[in-house]
Amino acid sequence: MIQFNLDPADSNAATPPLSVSVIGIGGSGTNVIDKIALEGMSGADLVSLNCDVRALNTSMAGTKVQLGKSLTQGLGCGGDPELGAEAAMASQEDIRQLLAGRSMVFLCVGLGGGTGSGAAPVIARMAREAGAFVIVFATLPFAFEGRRRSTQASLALQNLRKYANALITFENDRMGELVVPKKGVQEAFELADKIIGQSVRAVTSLVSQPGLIHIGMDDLVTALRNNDSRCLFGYGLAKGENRAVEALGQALKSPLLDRGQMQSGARNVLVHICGGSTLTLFEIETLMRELGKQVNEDAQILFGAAVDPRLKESLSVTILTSLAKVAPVVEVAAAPEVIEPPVVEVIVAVDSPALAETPVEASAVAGAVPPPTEPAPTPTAPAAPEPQPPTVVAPVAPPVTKLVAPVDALDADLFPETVLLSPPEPESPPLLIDIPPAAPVPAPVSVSMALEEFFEQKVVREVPSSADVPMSHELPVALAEPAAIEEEPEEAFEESIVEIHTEAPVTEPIPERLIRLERPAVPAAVVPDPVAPAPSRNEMAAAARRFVLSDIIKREAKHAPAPALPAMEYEAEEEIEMAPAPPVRPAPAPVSRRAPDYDHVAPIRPIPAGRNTPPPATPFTAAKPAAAAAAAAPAPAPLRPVPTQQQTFDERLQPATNGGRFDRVKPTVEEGEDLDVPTFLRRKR
Amino acid sequence: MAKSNIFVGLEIGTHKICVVVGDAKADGSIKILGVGQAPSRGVRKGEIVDFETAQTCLQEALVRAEDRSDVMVRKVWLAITGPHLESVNNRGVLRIPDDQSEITEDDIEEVKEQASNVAIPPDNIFLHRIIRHYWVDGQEKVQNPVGMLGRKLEADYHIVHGIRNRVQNTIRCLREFPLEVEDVVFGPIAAAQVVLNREARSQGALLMDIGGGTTDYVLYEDGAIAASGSIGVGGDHITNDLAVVLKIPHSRAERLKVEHGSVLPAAGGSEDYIRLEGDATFDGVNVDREVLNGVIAARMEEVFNLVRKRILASGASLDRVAAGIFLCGGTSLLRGLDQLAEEVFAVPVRRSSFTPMTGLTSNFESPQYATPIGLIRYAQRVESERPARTLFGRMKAVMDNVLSGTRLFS
Repeated sequence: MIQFNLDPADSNAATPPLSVSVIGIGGSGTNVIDKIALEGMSGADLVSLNCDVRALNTSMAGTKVQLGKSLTQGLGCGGDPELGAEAAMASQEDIRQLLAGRSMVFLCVGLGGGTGSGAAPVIARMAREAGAFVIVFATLPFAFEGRRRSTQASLALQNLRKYANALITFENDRMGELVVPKKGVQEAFELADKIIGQSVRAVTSLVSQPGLIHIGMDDLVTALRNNDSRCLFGYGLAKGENRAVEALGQALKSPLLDRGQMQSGARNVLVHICGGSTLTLFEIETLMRELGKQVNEDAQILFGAAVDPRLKESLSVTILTSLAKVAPVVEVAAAPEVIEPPVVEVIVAVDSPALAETPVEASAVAGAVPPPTEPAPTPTAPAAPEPQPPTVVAPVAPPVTKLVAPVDALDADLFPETVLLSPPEPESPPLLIDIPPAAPVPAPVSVSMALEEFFEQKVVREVPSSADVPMSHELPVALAEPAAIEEEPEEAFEESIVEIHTEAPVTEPIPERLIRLERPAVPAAVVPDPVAPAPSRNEMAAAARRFVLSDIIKREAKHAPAPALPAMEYEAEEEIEMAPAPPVRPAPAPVSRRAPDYDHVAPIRPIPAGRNTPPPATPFTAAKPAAAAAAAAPAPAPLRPVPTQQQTFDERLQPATNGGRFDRVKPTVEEGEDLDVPTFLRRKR
Repeated sequence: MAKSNIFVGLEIGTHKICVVVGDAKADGSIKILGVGQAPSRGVRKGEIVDFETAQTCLQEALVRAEDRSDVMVRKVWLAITGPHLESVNNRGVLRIPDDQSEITEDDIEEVKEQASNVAIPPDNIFLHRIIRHYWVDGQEKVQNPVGMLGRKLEADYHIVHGIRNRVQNTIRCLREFPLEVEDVVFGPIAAAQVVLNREARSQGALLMDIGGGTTDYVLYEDGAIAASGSIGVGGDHITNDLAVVLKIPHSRAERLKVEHGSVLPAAGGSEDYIRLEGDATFDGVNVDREVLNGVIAARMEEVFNLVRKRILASGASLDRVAAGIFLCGGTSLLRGLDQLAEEVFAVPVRRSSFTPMTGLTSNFESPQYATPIGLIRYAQRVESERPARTLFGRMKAVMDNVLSGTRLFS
């Protein structure tokens, strides 16, 4: 059995700090930030962005940025989203600085007005470019605010959809459900803000908290994956005897979670249960069984559980899911027509001569050379100063993306982990192509042209919104900056891996090798490249897939020795870890799969989904010893000696004995008193 | 002729087994066709512990009931009790989907399911899920929400659950006869059907069924059940107490309790000692009446206090018991028990009297028969609430009637 450390303090030490920013944009967003600040939020920066100086001044956020200083002169946007977008662009340097190195960014925004609707998509995009996982909480305006505002809101929503990894909307019209109609309006608004605040906190702790059954970024991504990024969210916290069911009830009642929709539409439902040390397996079971009734039978339930002593007697439930609207079968059928993902497209443009002309040749080469992956066994990875490695990494995507849903191109690229579910192409020969050096070395001009082309295409084709058009011109400049800063988190992640591996007493060099094995290409490829725009682009791609890159590499490595079936992925993965090291050390340090390790993404576990399937049993095995120990504790002594067998002669003549009439039933014990003993006698004593 | 339905109520008590065959008229009255009764053996604290003995007693009671009523008993409504039965109040909440505005039957079912989400021990089953009140959009106490417009439907349910095996053991015991069990009903809930009239229920009333092995209670507030439960202490305990304290055989103790027992020290006869004559195995003894009554009073006071504590612990209050406390069950015949209860609960107490009945009523107005007769009323209510059956279903029901519930003669 794998031993793992349950002490949250210890495991926290091993995890990389998750840098989270919660950003409120515009008036409504600032309010949400204030609410979060009031309730306290540890481990996240709270940022307010607004055009209106006065609103900004009263904000309680730790960081405040005034948008478009020169543009609006400290006033609001007056309900003009274009102005909002321009203001955001004008202050983009400040914003990018804020976003740099963030792994998770929450945007809280009220749509419909100027600043929120205009700036949010721009900022979401910047955050995405900075490599963060972007979750947007958008508030939609009241119906009575008029058509114009709701149009602006839905336009902004469309734009946000493209950039956000997850988009959770809250309709102000449903605020009435939160409180009794008679209650004050302030309470209603406060509650709405509070719900969003809760959501932010729940998602953050969900991913950052070490758990018995850990939910990682990968699970989150799976749960939220869909083609329009709209998500449902529910959160419940309850205390007391019936807390499991109450918490679930609360979560299901959440206005962010339309239960009816969840029942019909959700394909992946993420559930996270967190309780104090009193959390029982029975509670989890009850809760999951109930939840099973609420979701579609073939939905996948991604289940996580954690014990957080801070919760004490309470139990919290977080439900996150998205509405899948496209049937997967159709997706495959439509797949060949998929537009190639933009990042790949650029790279293809770089070495298009080689790739375009040599597919057949490539497969021939692949047939000749055994398929082991490039990184570990050979010195290719370290010796990758030429730009091949990026191409090595990138082309992985094209064959793969073909299997993926015909989602919006940007999404398809940013979610390459969809691949996890589909077996990779057996002939991924592009990996091995020894492309002549002539081909890939591009003139810088062509790269920037390609870039330009790409963004123009992207923007013009997909973002007709006026808000985004100005961006396309600024982008190349902007992109270069995060590239440099990006380096840091990468290294931080590596270090964290080292730490995790060294949990077992192991000599130093081995973990090094392990790391090389796990993520060889990115640093090697990016660092030495002298050409300015190219690395930034690669870096951008790398950053965008921060959470999955290692996975892709790992998968390649895994499929090299033996193409394992998806179901076998677990074992196969284990093998890879030990494969390169055997001479040096006998066994790999057993890395706890439950430790929160964002880079080392475990394959998504196929949980049998369905109405009547009980939650997976395996995760609880680890908890057993404690339970067994408890059970082994000496049982309380019986309250009274078991009466001896009744005499056979006539019962009427049998001498009356204490409790003799009740010899075959359980004693009635109330408050420690055996009621079968005459009250009269007990009182006397 | 009013449409008649013959139901059979069966109570396997600790002290006696009672089968009542009744004809429930559509106007709500019950005509008792026959009662079969036999002393019960092999039952302890309301639960069967010795199946063979219990079956023999049951057989006797059944035969008597069939004899007197001329009805062949095939299906029975079974009252059960036992300290393993527990109850809890829970509220289910349902948000009506956006695309639907009217509350439907399905929603009622759904909210019932929601309300049933109570963490009960894994080997327990639900015995009853009784609706208390519906709330639509926070509006208080709607009787029937079906067809109403609303966004949010809430329902308070009273849930009674018990250990599955113990409930099923009783049913299995009956199957061997063969008797089919239509439904299993928690004893006091059945008794309340006849003991408490509509007014008492809406005013608030506490029914205590003090039987041989258990004391069961059900509390009504605002016309709905607010609490119910069972304590494994009853008349048997009094007998045992007397036997232990006075050092006399059980049979003598039982007779002593019935003939002379009282909970009020002064309420006894004029003489201070009761002479128990000796026989072959038992030397006669003089029983001090003060001790006798003291033993019984101590026991009953304790029981009442337990009930009181349980009710308060379940969140209900005794302040709203305006109609008073109703005592039924064999032990409630104990002298002075109503006065003792009044002292403990500070609420007017009365021994139960029955709602209109025809037939062999006079013999069975005794509170001992509240539960089996209540079963018939309960059966009648449940049957009338059942949804209209299909043609085939109705035909089947008719056939069933022909086979089971019909009179053999007359």
